[in-house]
Amino acid sequence: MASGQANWNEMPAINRDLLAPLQGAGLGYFLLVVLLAAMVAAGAGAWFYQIETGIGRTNMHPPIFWGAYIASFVYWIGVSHSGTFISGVLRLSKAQWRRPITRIAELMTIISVTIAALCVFYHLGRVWRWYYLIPYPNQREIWPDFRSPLMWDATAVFTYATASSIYLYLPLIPDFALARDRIGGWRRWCYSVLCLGWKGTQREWETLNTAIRIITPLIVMVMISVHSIVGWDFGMSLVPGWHSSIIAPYFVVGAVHSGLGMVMVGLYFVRRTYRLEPYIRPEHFDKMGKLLIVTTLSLAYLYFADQLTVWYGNIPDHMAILHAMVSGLYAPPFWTMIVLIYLIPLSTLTIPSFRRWPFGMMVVGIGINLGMYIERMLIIVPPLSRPRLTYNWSSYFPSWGELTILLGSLALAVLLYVLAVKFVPIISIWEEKEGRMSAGGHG
Amino acid sequence: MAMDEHEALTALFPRQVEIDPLVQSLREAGISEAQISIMTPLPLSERASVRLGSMPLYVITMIAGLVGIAIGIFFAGGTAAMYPLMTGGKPIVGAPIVGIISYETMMLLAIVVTFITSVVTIKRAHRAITERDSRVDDGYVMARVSMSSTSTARIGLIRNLLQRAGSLEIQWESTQKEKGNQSGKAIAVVLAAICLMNGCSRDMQEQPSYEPQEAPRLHSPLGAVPRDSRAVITGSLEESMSEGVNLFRINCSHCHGTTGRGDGPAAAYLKEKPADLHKSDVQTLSDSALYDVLTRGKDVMPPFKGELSAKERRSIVAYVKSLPKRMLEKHANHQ
Repeated sequence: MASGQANWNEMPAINRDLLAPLQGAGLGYFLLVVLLAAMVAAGAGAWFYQIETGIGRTNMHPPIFWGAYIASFVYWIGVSHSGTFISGVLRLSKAQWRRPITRIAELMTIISVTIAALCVFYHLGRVWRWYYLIPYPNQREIWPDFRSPLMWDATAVFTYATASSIYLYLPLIPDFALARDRIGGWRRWCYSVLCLGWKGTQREWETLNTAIRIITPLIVMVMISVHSIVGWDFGMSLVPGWHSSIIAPYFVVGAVHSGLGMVMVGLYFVRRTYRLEPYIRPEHFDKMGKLLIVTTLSLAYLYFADQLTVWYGNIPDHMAILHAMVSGLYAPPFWTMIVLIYLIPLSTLTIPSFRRWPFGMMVVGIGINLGMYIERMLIIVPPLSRPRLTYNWSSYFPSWGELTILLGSLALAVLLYVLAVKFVPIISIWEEKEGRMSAGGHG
Repeated sequence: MAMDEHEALTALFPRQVEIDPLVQSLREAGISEAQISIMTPLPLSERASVRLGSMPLYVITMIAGLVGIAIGIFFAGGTAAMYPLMTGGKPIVGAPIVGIISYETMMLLAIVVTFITSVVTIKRAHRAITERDSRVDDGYVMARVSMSSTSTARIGLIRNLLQRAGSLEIQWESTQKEKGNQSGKAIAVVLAAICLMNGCSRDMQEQPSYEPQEAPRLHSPLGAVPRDSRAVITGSLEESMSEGVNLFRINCSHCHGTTGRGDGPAAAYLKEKPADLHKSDVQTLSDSALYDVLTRGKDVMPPFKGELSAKERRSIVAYVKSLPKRMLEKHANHQ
């Protein structure tokens, strides 16, 4: 401990720096909250209108029975992989540089799982009957069909949402205790409930460490299963373009890809807004950039392997979809996607100095997320619009109502994040201290 | 047990305190390890092998996981047992599906139970401790020694030991019982009320539905909206061609193909091949002859008299007649 002396003396400064984002808020913050709340209200209004007038307000029609809501569901579940991947996998591999990033990413996870669940409800006709989905012995003898991948999906997403809330909460307990002692007002009451009366005895620390260590590998396994099952929602059907054995790993890697991109965006704005440059340093962007190169290449490899077999097999039903994407109606979004999620990341992130440039990394992150959203739409729309029987071939673009609802939910995600930053220490304070301690102690 | 004792000495130490010698000296003074709590702003060791009684936490995780598997099998496998009929040559719930559902319920139970157990363990670990100096988070270390005997000599001895180890402040502390928290119950009641409110609507009884023995609808109902555009077709003659395109795709393309070459997806299953509509033996037919074929059918082609109105049939004829010209235009566009 003597060798870590300087680091122990840094603690008041760390507390001050990392609790600062929780305190006070400027005019800009309030304007942002008002703007986002207005967008959320518009989305809520559009959803209410859709509930009142029926699901026909969307542009979904036979044969395109899944549209932007389901694409958004897949997209948001994908983004939610950020937190689990970064904090789970990096915690497992004991990567020290994870410490300032984990909380930022875990918050994203829980918020985007919430938005993903909302997207399912947007898509439900007669949404007020949602509880028919729950298996319980009801009077109507309605029982969910476990053969349906959608049922697996519901189970997996519920497990994932529960597990990732727990995973966000556990390392927060000591930080809540810290905040309880230093932040007044109504939040003090919340913190004192949430911190479970944390005192910081060695038995408490050991319990916390044990729980985190047990849950971390479990949640990584849940994470992989969740997006695999989302992939199987598509892969289990015989629809050309979906029926592929590679679709589950492809979805998982794609999810991590967009998740990492989103974390980059979050890191940039949190760091800039709250002047956390001493904590979130260029080397964190550098490490994230390297991870992104791995996901870019893996994703490109899986996508190529998938499409190559389609092209070589030359089955007419499958080729109709491939043609529609590469050179047909869907060529513009298809090539935009290729550029955004493969070409731009590969051509920029491979330059070491670029990886240390936070603004550039943020822009690449936004590009990846735009591209991945297009990719989700391209997974859903072209195969559905080109069924084997040609009589109702058609296409789809979301209606104004759908777009309003989805923009509203994007605003809701940002709003929840912006509000959460005022409630949750955005960098795990005790883990940051622990990291500096051990760095000082061993180095 | 030491946990239940209500009197203790607490001491705040500066950052450079050596904890191991302190604990050692306290033990030599007859204080058991369970009576000493060291509060720090971060874990002093990376040890993660907490036990509840004699059971390691991970054993509880594993038991919960097994219960989770049982729950998954109960739901997915139970569904298979309740509905044993085979559909499409496959059981209603296959083994892989039971596996997938059980995997998820296993993870759910394992994680949730681990979490709850840890929360309870954390709460129990500091049951007797009421005070913690907030300076601990600034890097100070707090030691709490709970006392079984309150004789002044003994307290003085421990106080001395703490002082010698470099304590800045030493306090005598008596614990009071904490009040229970009612907010959890209130939240549960509100949630239950919200769930109950869902049972109020009865609109399933008021929906338009088919009557028994009612004939199936062949036509789209009046004013129905076509599938690939949101606009209602007005039916003027100028637009009959675009109507013909749609109707051809809906009614004809599965046999005659989207381009009219007679290569639709259903063609392979027909004993008489559908006509290639671009060929001269079709194109040389007059409008009324084509209209006649469409109305009455030909060979395996069904009559469309009952399916399409006269106007609709005429629009398809107009489209079929325009096929060679469209093909030429397409070629011209490609070059």
